[in-house]
Amino acid sequence: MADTPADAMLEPLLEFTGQRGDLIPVLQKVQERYGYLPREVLQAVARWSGLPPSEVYGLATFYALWQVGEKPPPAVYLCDDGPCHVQGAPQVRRALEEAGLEVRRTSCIGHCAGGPAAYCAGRLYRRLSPQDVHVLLEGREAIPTSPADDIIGIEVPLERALLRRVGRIAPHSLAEAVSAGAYQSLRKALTSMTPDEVIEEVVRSGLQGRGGAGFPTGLKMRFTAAAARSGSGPACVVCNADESEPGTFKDRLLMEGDPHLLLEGIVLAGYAVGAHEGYIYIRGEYAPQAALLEQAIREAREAGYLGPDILGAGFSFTVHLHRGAGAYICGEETALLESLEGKRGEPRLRPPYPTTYGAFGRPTLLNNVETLCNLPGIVSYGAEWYRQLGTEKSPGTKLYPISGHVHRRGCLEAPLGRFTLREVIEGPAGGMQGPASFKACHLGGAAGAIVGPEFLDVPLDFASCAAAGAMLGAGDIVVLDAATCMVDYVRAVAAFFRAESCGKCTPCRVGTERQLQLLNELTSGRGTPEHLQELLEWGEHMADSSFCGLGQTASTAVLSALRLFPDEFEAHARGTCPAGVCRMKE
Amino acid sequence: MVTRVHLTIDGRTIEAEEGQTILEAARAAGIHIPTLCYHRDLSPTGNCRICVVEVEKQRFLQAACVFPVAEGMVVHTRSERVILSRRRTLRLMLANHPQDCLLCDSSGSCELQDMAYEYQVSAPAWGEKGTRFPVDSDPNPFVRVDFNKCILCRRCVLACAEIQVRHVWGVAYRAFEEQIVAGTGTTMLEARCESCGNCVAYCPTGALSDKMRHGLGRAHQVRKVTTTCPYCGVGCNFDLSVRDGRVIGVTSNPDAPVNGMALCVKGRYGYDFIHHPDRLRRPRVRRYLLEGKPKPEPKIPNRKSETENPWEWVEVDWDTALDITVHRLHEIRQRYGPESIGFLSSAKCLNEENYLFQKLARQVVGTPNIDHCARLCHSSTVAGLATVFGSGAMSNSMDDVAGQAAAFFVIGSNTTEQHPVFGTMIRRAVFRRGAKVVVADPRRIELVDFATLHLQHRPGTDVALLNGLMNIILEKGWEDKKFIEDRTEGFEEFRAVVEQYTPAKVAAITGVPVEQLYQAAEILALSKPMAVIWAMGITQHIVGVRNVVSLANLQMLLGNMGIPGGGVNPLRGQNNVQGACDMGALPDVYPGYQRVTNEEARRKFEAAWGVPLPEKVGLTVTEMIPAAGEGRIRALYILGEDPVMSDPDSNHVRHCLERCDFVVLEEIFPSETSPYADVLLPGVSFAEKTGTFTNTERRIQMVRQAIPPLGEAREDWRIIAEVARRLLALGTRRPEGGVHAGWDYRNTAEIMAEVAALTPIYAGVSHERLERGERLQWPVRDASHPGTPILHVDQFTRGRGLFTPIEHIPPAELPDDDYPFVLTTGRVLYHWHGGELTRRAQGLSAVYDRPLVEVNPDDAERLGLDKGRRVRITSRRGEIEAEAWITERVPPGVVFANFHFPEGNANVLTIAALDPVAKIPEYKVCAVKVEVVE
Repeated sequence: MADTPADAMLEPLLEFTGQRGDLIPVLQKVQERYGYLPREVLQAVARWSGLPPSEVYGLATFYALWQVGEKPPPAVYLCDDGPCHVQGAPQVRRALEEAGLEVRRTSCIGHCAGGPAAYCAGRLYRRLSPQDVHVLLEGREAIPTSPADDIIGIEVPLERALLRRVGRIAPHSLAEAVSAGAYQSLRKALTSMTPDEVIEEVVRSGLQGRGGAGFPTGLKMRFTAAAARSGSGPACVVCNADESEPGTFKDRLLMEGDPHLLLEGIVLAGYAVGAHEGYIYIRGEYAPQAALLEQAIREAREAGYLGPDILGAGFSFTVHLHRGAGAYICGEETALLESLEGKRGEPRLRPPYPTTYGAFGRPTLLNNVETLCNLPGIVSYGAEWYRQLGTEKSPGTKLYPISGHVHRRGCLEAPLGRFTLREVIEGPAGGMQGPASFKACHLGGAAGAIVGPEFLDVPLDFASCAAAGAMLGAGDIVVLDAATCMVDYVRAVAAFFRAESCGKCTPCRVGTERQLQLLNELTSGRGTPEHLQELLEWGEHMADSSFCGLGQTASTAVLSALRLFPDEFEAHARGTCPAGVCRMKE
Repeated sequence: MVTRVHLTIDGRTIEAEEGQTILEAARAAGIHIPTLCYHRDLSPTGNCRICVVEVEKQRFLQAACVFPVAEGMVVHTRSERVILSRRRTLRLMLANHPQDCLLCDSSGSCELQDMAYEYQVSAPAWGEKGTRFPVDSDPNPFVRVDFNKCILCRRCVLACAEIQVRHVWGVAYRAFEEQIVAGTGTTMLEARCESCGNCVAYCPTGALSDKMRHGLGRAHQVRKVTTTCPYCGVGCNFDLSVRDGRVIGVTSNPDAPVNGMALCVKGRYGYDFIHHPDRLRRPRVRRYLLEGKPKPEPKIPNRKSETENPWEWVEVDWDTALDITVHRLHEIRQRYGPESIGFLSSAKCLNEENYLFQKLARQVVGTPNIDHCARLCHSSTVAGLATVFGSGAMSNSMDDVAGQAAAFFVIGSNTTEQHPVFGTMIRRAVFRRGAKVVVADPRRIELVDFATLHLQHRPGTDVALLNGLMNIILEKGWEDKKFIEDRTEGFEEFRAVVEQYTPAKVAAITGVPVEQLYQAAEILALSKPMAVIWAMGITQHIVGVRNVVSLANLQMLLGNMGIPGGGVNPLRGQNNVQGACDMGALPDVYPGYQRVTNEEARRKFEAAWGVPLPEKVGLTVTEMIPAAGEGRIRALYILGEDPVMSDPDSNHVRHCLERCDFVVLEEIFPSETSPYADVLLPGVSFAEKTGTFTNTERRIQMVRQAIPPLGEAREDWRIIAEVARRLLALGTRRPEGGVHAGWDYRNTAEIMAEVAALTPIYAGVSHERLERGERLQWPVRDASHPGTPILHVDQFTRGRGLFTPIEHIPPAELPDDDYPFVLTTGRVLYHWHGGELTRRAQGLSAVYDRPLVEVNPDDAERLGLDKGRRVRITSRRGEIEAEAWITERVPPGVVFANFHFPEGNANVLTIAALDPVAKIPEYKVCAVKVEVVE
């Protein structure tokens, strides 16, 4: 390479094939190496790829992990989304700022149970308290964590649990995974089942997607296989590992604790739908998990669990790992596909659905990590066994990431519907954290609704929750105690959506901005009753008229909190915060 | 097979096609759904959410512009829920939109304003109103950028990507920070903006507006006049905005037949020459003429004593000027005979004016010497195609080849700069449907970026290149045997010559590697239909006719004639060069290519005009000017032309004009030629007259008067007619009988009626039909004939196409030790011809303000030439100095210069070596030396 700095910066581009889909990984490397994306690099990328500079720039400025143009000053990136917020992020922020550190907001980084969480200079810090200022000031190493730290209970027979190997094997060891049973169901499927039999087994199991919408996985498989057969191009499998929902960290545990379970699930899915290629789209924040997966893919390939002629059964399958670069919207399946193709993560219109027109226009089975991790168990032990877990309408086992004001925060695995919210809090979560009693729960992620005490006895499965008026979503539970200011809490949620809107459609782009403005007014003592009216107005508007699910749910928390706690909002509109949390102006 | 579906919209059951959106289905059924981000020319995105509708069984509102129809679907477009949503979306837009409609240039043409009015929505108090971005934030001289007014509909981004295919605009950042940016966050020009302004045309608000028009007038204050562009031969239509007798802007007219909304920078922003202070407003004559003295020698005067200088201009009234003009012409005619007078007509003027001008020459003066600048651009095309097919014009239509050609062979045409809107149509064909493009050009022109293959042959080796390609086609058996058998003759003689041009031999002559020859032959032969496109790179050679014939041979060989998406497609340079030829402003033909040597034709015109007509072919432009130098031509009447700028070897042109006894120049500006004129008659620009232009694809289109003539200037057709009447009154000729002998035209429609009566290919053309909106491409055989979009469909004009064997001949002047470089010449995007108009267009001059000579970096290094330095270019005929542009657009050993600027005019250097048949000069090759100016 030439020795001028600008040329050296282009070095990561040598790996660039010119394929648009490779743009994001390549830019990610430049960003990681230099801490920013120099304009020259973007121009060089445009030249080499033949893409217009405006598109490369549009792409580069879309993703939160990238800084375009100039290197930003060193900063602590502190998460202030719902769980971290109620677990003390604002206090940590004040302490850090008083100590003279530059603090920037980041959206959720997937360590909600270990929040407040932050990253700084490539290091992850969990359970921060205002006393930890010196740790960050001195740039000390963070305390290492293991996925097992984030598990609070497995309420299914261990050997058939999703988390069966998490924390019990060395995640980077294929040998340990195999001796603990990995790839046995793949062997079974490849040697004794036809692809259609695998699909029908999944259909019978009643498995519903674990990404939030709960769509029957078996049906998706059928649609994808049918589209591929009808000549819409070769099918592929895309694993949505873009877990970015504040309050959610379950997929991270699966990936960092047992990467081979996911790979096995992906290959099974590929076999079922007739695909020979799979992509894991993993969020950019999950760099260590990506490295682990990359290693697992390599080892699995070397051992014959991936690649040509898997296990000698004549089926071949390749898995590509694709890292995102910081965008919640890319968890939305069509935005994920756009991003996978090297574009801004803006959602596509459905129809057509990914099953017929997905990644690179091919029929695509697109499933969440947890969903795919369910497949090996279903194949190994059968649909009947699977249906014994969970409820009639929501079978199987579910991971519930739990955070907020409970004694024990972390992930619970339990059959769907096995526990009510009350049972979860009082049982695996060890009760409320302090003396304050239960006030509300934010269920199903930032996009989910806030529910109150009346919800405590609803069984936590898709159907029961929906019947009670809230979506179980990804299963996350943020428990809020009586000392919580609901207006303050939903302000944090609104800030998240304000940061993560893709900007494509008017209601979401401007609505999330206005929603946050209104909540800022209300939580700073400048609120008026009109602000409450407006919250309703824009909330409704975003929900009804936005382009995609992000906008349609960006006001769910706000609207549900308004409904449940009108007095609290009205008090704020008069300039008082009953919980004494908001710093109202004099 | 289209599947029909039925759906119910607002209670009405309608039928639609599967795959249509709700919006398309609704509009087809006459149901109005409002839109903002949607535009019918652009891909729908569904992002603004104004067109939301309620679709039963859908939980959320859906954008009609993207949501597909389905059988049994029930849609509500005006329900309370829908209306509420639209009003809320509008409030969100207006919240962050400046409330300055009072001052906004787009007020009255703003779709957001209209929508707010329609839904009676006002802006909420909250939001940032005009404080987010700097106003007028981009230095582009044409486009005024104010992103405070942007509603992020992205129409600009799509227009730049899908219409102009330039991708200057992009969407950057996200969430509320989302904004439109140029390139990587640079200025528009840095992002390679071509300043076409199409983004402005598609912008629904005042975010992008016309800078030149800022503060001059808004939609409700202007009158719009639809007319035809005065620049290139593409023939775009647009609307002139007129306020208080001034043209204050150009806007797209969505119904424009050729271009739709698209325009290029010259068409959209090159209009301000119309009101330039240099415009000639009164006739001028030289003082000596007023004083009845003899013409002073030498002609270029010393100007010591202003008052007594016999060569100084004196402004006079029309009567005086015309009187002097006709008396001098009459005298010269009496003394030296009619053939001593030459007429140079104008490809910039109307068909009707060209008709009158040749009639003036032939009928009133009785001289055969009538020609115009087509001589300098496509005379070889006309002659070459006439040889092979029997007639010479673009065989297909632009939209036809752009829409249907599987491949384009672009040879000697810098399409995206010279015919920019057609250039973008080719880009679109590549971008949208993957059409292949083979560019053959010594320069790496812009279109190469879109090409599958670039053949960079040496200047002047086109025949060898084409024979080489045809040799390979024959070798591979790719020729269209049926077409050759059914529709052509002379194939065997042709084959015998082509077979001598083996790939190895051709590679040696052209410098194109053998493997590229094979690749090109394969693309051209196996992509069907394939359209050949050429311009001056083919025609302006001493072998111009041979080049054209070779291309015609190629298209017959491949069976690409007479079919959609194929054909021979010469791109005419000037707005009405096709029309000027059609009108017979040529020395060998009457209107409609009726040959003057054809007795029947001559009799017809003699009968019509009531005078005997010369039997011989007259002199060409390139012969008349030297003849003036030699005293064979005593008087020249030049209409709207600037031969000093545009003819080869300008020093010689000056010399000849100096020696001409009497030069009448009818012009709108003083030009480089006017110092040699004796009388200057102020004509008018395209904005001041009504008539027709004929574009490169033979499409006759209306030019409509938008403003009255400036000052005392007169429409050119009135001037010509007045000169004719006065000459006849002096008794030059005495027409007897003749239905069309008279000169009392009340308007140009009457002139066109006369043209139609005498010109079979224009027989069905009338202003009335054009004003009715009929789209006519000649031949138009009669008043009910629909015109002819594609020529040579079942047979050629001459019957069978004549394969004509052609041998390669090297250019007239090749580099040697003294003059080691090849100079090739042409034009640039921002300027036009001799620059008479574009140098007077402020914005165009701002972007490209001086002549630049393109020099290859290798040559620059050898010459010790740095960026921004000046070079001296010298040929055997003259020298110029200009700034060097060091660029890989030219190969080593070749320099490129333009003829837009008097101070660095390439035609000082060019050679007047002529094609023996067409008499076109070899502008594209001469030998020069290049020195760095110290």
